[in-house]
Amino acid sequence: MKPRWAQQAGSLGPAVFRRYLATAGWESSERSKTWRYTCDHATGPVTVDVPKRQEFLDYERRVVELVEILATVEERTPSSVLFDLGYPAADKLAFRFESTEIQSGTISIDDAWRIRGAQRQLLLSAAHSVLEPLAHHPRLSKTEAVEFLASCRAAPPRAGSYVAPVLVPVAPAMGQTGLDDPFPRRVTKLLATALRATSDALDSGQDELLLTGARSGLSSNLLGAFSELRPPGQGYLEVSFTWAPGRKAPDTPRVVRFEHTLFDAMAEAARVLRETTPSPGTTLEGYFTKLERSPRDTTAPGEVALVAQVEERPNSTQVYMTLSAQAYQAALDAHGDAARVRVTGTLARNGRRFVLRNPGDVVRVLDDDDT
Amino acid sequence: MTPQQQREEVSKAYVAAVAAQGGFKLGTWTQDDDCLDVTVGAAGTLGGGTLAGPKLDLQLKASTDQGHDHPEHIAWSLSRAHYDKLRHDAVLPRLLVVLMLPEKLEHSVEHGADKLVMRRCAYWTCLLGADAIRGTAESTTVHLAKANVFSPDALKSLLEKVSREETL
Repeated sequence: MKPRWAQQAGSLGPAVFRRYLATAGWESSERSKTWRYTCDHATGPVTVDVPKRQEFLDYERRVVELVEILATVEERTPSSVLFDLGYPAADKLAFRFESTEIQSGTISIDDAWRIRGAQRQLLLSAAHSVLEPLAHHPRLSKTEAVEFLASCRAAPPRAGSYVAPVLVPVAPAMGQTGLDDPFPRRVTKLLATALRATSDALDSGQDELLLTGARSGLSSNLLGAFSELRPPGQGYLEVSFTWAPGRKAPDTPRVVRFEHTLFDAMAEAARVLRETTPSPGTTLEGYFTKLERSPRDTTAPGEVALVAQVEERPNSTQVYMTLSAQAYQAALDAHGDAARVRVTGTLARNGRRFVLRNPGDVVRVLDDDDT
Repeated sequence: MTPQQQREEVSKAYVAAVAAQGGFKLGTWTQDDDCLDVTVGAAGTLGGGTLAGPKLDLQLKASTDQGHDHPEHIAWSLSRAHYDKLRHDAVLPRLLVVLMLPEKLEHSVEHGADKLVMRRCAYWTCLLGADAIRGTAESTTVHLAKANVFSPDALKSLLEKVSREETL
């Protein structure tokens, strides 16, 4: 019986297969009707033939055989091989969820929504860490990272357990230039490194290592996003990377697996990093509620508290800061007028308190600013 | 099992026996154009050839109708579409193999403690490059020469030719 994917295989031209095999390191030779590719496998040399022309009557049948051999060599399903053949110029990240609540490869709509949102945050976080490896990114809004995210594609979920693939387009390499990889490949490589670091830390019970891995891409943002990828119910998540064949594959693990019991630790690490990492350039808007300065010295700095919305906290929070004499006077005036103000500085934690270090000028927020 | 299914299973057994006797491997059976389809292949090079792993595609038909059987050939009718497919260029050489079975199907296989006998014989032809059907006829009759017996030796010879990249 012809497999269901035979027609799809037959629709791919010879060049697709040739590029795939060449990039995977298969040696080629030319025959009268085919290009023959060979590679060494644990069980011995393996040979496949790529027909030279799609017009051959048995083209579909021959490429079906080719895909089946590739699936055996690569130890995965023919469908997944075919999927990669169809999207050659992309790193493919497959998030495979296996759990008691996944039936017939389907999950609840709420879970599907959550997973896609978390994937988005994961990629955005990794992209920001490529630009600047921080333990916490106050905002995920850098242009290059946002543009990178816009280029990524969500592939259709695959059959079997629930698989939510993501495609990251990566341009093929052009000769041996010694140039850095393009930005998208740097992101997927960092993501693979970060996931491996996370897995190693959690598997060995050294959860605290998650707090010192900023250079490996471990930020509060990435860990928070990844914690949102917990499988529904009890089970596990397996993330696999298939590298775009047109560019040398990085030396990072291909597959990383996370049991459902590990996701709470990730969420907690994300929280700790978020709340203990200073965030420079943070702008807060709110109202002053406390102002303290020695009444005898009006030229001295003063302590104030600003009630403002801080990051993802649901309610307004008091943020303490020391203002210069001039800024303190502005704060005093604003407080007297019940005016809303804006202050920029480095947001940090001091025990249980939020503090704004190096605050700049106190600027009144005009009514027009709210529109 | 219907008589047609029986004929198909007997013909599969015939091809499997011929291939096995020659040490050749059979691929997965499929159905195409009302024919059973299978690929038979060998490992390594054969007959001094340079192409390793030579293979052939077989399109198999079987019949108990002795009307196909003539002194020098088997006459077999093919639809225009099927005939054109068999003429068409392909990666692997493609043979039409017709197994002529005894008039009574139950005589096809005889079993005893000392032997298992399969009666009658299959013949092959290769239609690659054959002339197109003229006019508007929807079918044509091809002749499979009785000299082209589908036997273990014949199969070996065919695969050797494939390995030497010669025309069949």
